[in-house]
Amino acid sequence: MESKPFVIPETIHPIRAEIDPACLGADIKTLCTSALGWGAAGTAVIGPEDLVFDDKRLRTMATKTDLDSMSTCWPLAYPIDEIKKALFAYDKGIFLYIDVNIDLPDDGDNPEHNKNHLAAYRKIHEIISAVESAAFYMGHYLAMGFAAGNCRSVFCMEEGQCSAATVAKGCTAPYKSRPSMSAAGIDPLKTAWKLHLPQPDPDRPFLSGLVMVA
Amino acid sequence: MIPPPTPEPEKMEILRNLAVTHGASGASIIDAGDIPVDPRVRFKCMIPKCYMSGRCGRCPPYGYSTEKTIRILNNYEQAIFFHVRVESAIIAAKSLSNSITSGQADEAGNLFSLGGHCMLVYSLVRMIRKKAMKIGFCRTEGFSASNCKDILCFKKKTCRELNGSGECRNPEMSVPSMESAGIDAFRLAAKIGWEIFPIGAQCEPESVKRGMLMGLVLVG
Ligand code: SF4
Repeated sequence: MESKPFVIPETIHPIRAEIDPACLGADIKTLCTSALGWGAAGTAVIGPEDLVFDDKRLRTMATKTDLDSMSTCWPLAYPIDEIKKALFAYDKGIFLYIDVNIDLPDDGDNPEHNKNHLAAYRKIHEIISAVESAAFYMGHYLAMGFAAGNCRSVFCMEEGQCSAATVAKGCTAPYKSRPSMSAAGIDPLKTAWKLHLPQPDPDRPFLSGLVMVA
Repeated sequence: MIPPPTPEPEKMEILRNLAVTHGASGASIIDAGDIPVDPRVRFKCMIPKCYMSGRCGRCPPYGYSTEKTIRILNNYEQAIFFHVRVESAIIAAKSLSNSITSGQADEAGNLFSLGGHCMLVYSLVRMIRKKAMKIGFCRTEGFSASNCKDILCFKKKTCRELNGSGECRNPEMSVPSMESAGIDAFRLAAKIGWEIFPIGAQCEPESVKRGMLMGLVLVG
């Protein structure tokens, strides 16, 4: 199924002082259904303890100074433990993946010119940002989404460098582009294995994303 | 550590009144210990990346870390927390998000109108801090709403603290926003009983009753 644009609810309710766990569970279920409707092939409700981190990668990111590839490496300027601390503050999240029936070679942060590759990466970014937005308007204003791949290759392939990393500009696709899970130090494949999802085959491309909800 | 002294209720009431008489649509005296600080709030400035993240000395990844904010809060007993109401026709206007990120004024004037409301929050924070010192408090700390680059340095190309001499152009007025320092202003407002809505770029004026900008002044 093709991904559809997210439509905000007609009425937005005020933010609640405390989120009732039952209510959070029900909202997450709704978000999973929406994600499937927007084109996800599968979803899983997770807790932060289900995330598998690649600490070596986090450490590399924290010492990286190459601004040109910053969008792959958010949150570049943060101490290693900060992003982990933030992720562990969430109660729940939605891990989702899409069907990729094509070869998806790792092009690093080079521009992605192959139309099929581009469509696959765009799709995962769009679903993740749609789920994150839906959660936000449900009152889960701290919802945070992570997609897959390098957003510069997908949304800014004609630009010389990442616009968000250039001091005087902002991101060119703030409502679509999300940092990858790997950029946050999460190993998507190992996380999927831990969740016993049907998809992960190390020989096939696996595009997944994550939305943490509080 | 010696706990900070409890401020006299009459003095706190003077400050609360000051906020309301000078334009706040509501103000409360709160315990500093009730102010929630959360690392996720600061990350929300970066994921998805706000156009100002990395462009203003007070905005993430710069500005106060959550640890620094917690250390500051620990030095205070009470605070004035206030809000400035913004009509949904302004804060949820269709064109607003583009105008904000591009810095180009829209025909309806919503960008400048919102800027005026933000300026009011900055002014109230400054006013309360000044008054607090006048009536006998010996230290204050202020937090505002929005980034100071768009409000206080709108006409300047870059933030001087970040890209120039390292010194802020407006040291008296410029304070970090609550969210940039990791303070969960939404939760705090909801706990007090203020009706606050999640308003994002896709919002329509009809879908929310109103918007709200908030400011916080710690006194001790
Ligand atoms: S007031 Fe201007 S110079 Fe000072 S921190 Fe803000 S943007 Fe930078």
